[in-house]
Amino acid sequence: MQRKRTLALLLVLCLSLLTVTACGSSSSPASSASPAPAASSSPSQAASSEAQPAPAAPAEKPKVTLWTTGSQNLSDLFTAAINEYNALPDAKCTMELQFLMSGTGDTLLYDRLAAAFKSNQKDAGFDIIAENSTALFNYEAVAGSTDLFLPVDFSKIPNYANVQVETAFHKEKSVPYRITTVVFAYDEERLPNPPKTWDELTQWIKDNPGRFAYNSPSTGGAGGGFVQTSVYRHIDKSAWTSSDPKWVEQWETGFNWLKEIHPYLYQSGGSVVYPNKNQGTLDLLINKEVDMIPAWADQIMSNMAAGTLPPTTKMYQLSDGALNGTDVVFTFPSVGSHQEEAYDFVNFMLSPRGQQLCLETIYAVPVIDISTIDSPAKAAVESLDISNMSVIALGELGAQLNDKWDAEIATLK
Amino acid sequence: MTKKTWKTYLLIAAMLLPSLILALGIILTPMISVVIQSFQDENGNFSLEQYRFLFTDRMALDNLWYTVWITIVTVIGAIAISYLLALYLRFCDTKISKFISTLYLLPRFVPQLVAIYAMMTVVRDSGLLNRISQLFGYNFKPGLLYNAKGIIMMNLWFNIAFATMIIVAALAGIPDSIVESSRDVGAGKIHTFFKMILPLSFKDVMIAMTFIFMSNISSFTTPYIIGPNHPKLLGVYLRDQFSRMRYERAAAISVLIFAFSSISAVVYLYTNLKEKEWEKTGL
Repeated sequence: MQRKRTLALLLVLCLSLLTVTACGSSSSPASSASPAPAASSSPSQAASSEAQPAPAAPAEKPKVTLWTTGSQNLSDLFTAAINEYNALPDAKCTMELQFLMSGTGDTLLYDRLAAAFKSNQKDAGFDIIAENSTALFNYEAVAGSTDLFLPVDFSKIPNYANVQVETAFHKEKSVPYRITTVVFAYDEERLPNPPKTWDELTQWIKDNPGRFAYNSPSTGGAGGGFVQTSVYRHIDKSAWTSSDPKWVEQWETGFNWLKEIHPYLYQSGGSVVYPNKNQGTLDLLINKEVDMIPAWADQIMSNMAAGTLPPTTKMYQLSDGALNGTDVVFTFPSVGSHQEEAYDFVNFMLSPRGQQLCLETIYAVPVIDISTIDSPAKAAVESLDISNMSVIALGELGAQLNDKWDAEIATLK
Repeated sequence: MTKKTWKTYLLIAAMLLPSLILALGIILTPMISVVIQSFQDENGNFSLEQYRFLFTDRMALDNLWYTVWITIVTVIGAIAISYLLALYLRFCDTKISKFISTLYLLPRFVPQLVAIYAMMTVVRDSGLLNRISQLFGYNFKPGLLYNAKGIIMMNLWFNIAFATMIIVAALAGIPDSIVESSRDVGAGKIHTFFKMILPLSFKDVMIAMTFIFMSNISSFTTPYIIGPNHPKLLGVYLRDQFSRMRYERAAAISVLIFAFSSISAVVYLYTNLKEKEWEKTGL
């Protein structure tokens, strides 16, 4: 009897301990979700619980936290780059990575920044953000202020002088470090003479029903880029980086074209389908169900390197309007700190070695003269002409465009 | 020991407390805040706008009925197949049935994503079936992806194992003597099934149905990967609205999914309570 009671008491104790620990572990992501409380204590400590293990560094080096979001390959890139940078004897700071896998928490990065900004944080642990320049307008929109990002003192980033790319985001506030673009991809063996212009593309799609596909725009940037370019190539360039609703009425020409090609696109089970996610159309190209798709250049190159796409796969742009791409930049939120030390890491990423890392880990198009980089992976990127890449940043109109596509294109029989 | 003192009650309360705190903290609180959010407009004012939209917008209505339709077909299909399978496993004692009874649970151990991609490599229009057919000079295209057929097929694949597991357990609880005595007094096989076996396993069938209904009304992975562009299942629709930063509408969709689940929970509770009544009179 007595023993039973002691046993029961012990059980209760164990259970309540479990609750406490369970609460503890469940609250750690929550604390990073709301940077405000984390900031009041010690930002670097709060961040380090999730960050990559960094090599031991002398205590006087400040910790600088880099936040980014994307697919797994981005995490691989920055893990490699940060490990190499931290091992440098003259590194001015110890870098740490906070990575949000896209599709799991990426909508929260700008929410987190906005929350920290609106509560007037000065040291919330968001020291550097690496993000597509076209996405950054959204960050400002959510935060409700153009003061979210700090101006950059370019004189403290010597390698910036070699950068040949102009950003789509505020020039004085961002440092581009790579370029990513949507291209048309096809297999040379099956399609020796790909269409050269948009008109030829229209004709080719109609002549070859079921051999072209793009993924539904809200599920991946390749299809999203294709739809945006299709719509905006008919509209004045000043609309391309505008979130002004007045441009919506000019979408019709582009949407009529999307409706026109709809019946000739990839079919399965007797009806036209738009695969979900970038991988969906890639799979169709890999399995030879279609001959041409819009796709991210780096994903095509990764698949070629892995052997899932044949070496005869080619990427190109139409001569009268390239698909859209974006430069990817480092920015320095006003809710972060250690900007001076962060410049040193950014400078490293702009060095030939840093650019080589980007090229070899994720097939990123470099922002510096490619001849200064020594890498066997160079050939794949060199063929990409990014000079006429279109940069489209719609901000909040992007969701409206997807809504319209869902309502008018996805519902077509 | 039978006499319950206040100490015993205190002990019981203490033992329940941790789970109660957990339930309040991580289930009830977010649920309440979602319900509140669903009754707000974009500026945080009270409004029925989100629900008005969900029940008047053509696409939202399409999504709603599509979800209900797919879920009901899944529930009926899974239960029908599972029941036949369970009957076979319970009443046929052959090598094949023993083999199946060791194998049928396998889908429970395969992660959802893995299973979906595995199925896709087999049934996609350029998949295994198509390639085999090409060997024989045909070009067979199953056409199962990106439409309702594919989602239902995948749902059945996941849920038959679960439903069979529950129904087999129920059938195992029916003693052979009941079946034999029914046969002794002259009842045929069909009569025995409808008068004895079905009523005795009905409660477990209802449990299986409610669980399948609840897990499928909110399904996301399957329809997201192999579902059509339109209509969308509510889970995919919710994610869509969420990623377009329409948090209030996403909240309203969550509440809607929750309401559907509650209906099946009520059915579940009702059948359970009814069973209790029957047990009372029986004893």
